[in-house]
Amino acid sequence: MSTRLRSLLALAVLLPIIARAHSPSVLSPGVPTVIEDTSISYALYGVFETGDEVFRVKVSFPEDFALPVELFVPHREELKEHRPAFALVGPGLFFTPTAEERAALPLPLPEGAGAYVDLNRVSPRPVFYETFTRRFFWSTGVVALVVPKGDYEFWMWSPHKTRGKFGIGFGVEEGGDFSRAFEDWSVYAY
Amino acid sequence: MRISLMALGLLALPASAREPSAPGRLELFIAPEVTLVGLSAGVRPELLVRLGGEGPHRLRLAPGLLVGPEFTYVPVALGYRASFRDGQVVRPLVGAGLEYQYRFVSDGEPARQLAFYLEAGATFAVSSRLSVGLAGSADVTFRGGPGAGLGVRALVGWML
Repeated sequence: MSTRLRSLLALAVLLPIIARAHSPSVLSPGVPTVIEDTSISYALYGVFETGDEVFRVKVSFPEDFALPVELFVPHREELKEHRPAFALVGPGLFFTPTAEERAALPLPLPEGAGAYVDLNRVSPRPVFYETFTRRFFWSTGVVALVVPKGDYEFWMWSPHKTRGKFGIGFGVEEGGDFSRAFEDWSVYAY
Repeated sequence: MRISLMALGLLALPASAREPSAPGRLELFIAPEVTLVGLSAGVRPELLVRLGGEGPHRLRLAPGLLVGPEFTYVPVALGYRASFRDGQVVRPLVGAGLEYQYRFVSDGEPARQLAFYLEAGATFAVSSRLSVGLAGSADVTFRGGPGAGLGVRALVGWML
């Protein structure tokens, strides 16, 4: 079998896998992560080292969008009580947080901004299996948020100061640069 | 003196290297295994049925029970394995087949996937019936969601 044919066969096997993966990236507390292209979906991973961190992600939508979102935590015994919360905050949002949700926010809500807040209290916790990494996660459950065009921020925080890994997934069209997963493998792995 | 050294040398060789082994039809392996994508570890018994008398061809049936930090994993593989150099100490092996992969947690829906796997490794004859070895495998799922996996297992085999 020629080298070219072998390469083509390898690509045929690997491309469907790569093409269907979310574009991965790693979050740092205190440094907002800026998403340049919201037309593809993302799985952003982070670690609450102290439980006091606030992770921020800036997103912009050039047109109105129905945005699926979920926050997830590895399905491991030691993370059973780890329930990070998230909020999508922006001026054009129709969502108005309750007083309890507003009080739970880790940062002051900007003047005129709306916020969708998920305090991750659903019970029983939804579980999903991610086929690419072959891992199970607890999820907040997927919600589809109606987002008018504009600039927004995701905030992720740990309301009960629990520590551990988490991820947030959002977007529709899968794809992106899978190779970035290898740059921070320890965050994605166990 | 020369004869004594030769005798010692022969004694040091495994029995299978001194005399051709009578090929049994069945071979049973106990294989401690670690999967590296979807981390888990456990035991993978393998039953090998020799196909067509002497020769490298074998049918492989390998169920397993592995436990990881996030799930319990029950794979069942059915495939072909070629084991070369019968009667020699070092016996390379290669194989391929299908694997049903079942992963479950206590509080969620299980994951069921079907994969195509490839394996390669070698066994080392300790006696005419007993062998030890090491094998690695890679798989690509084509049912139940895309994914690819790697596994490593030790082999302790007994010719029945």
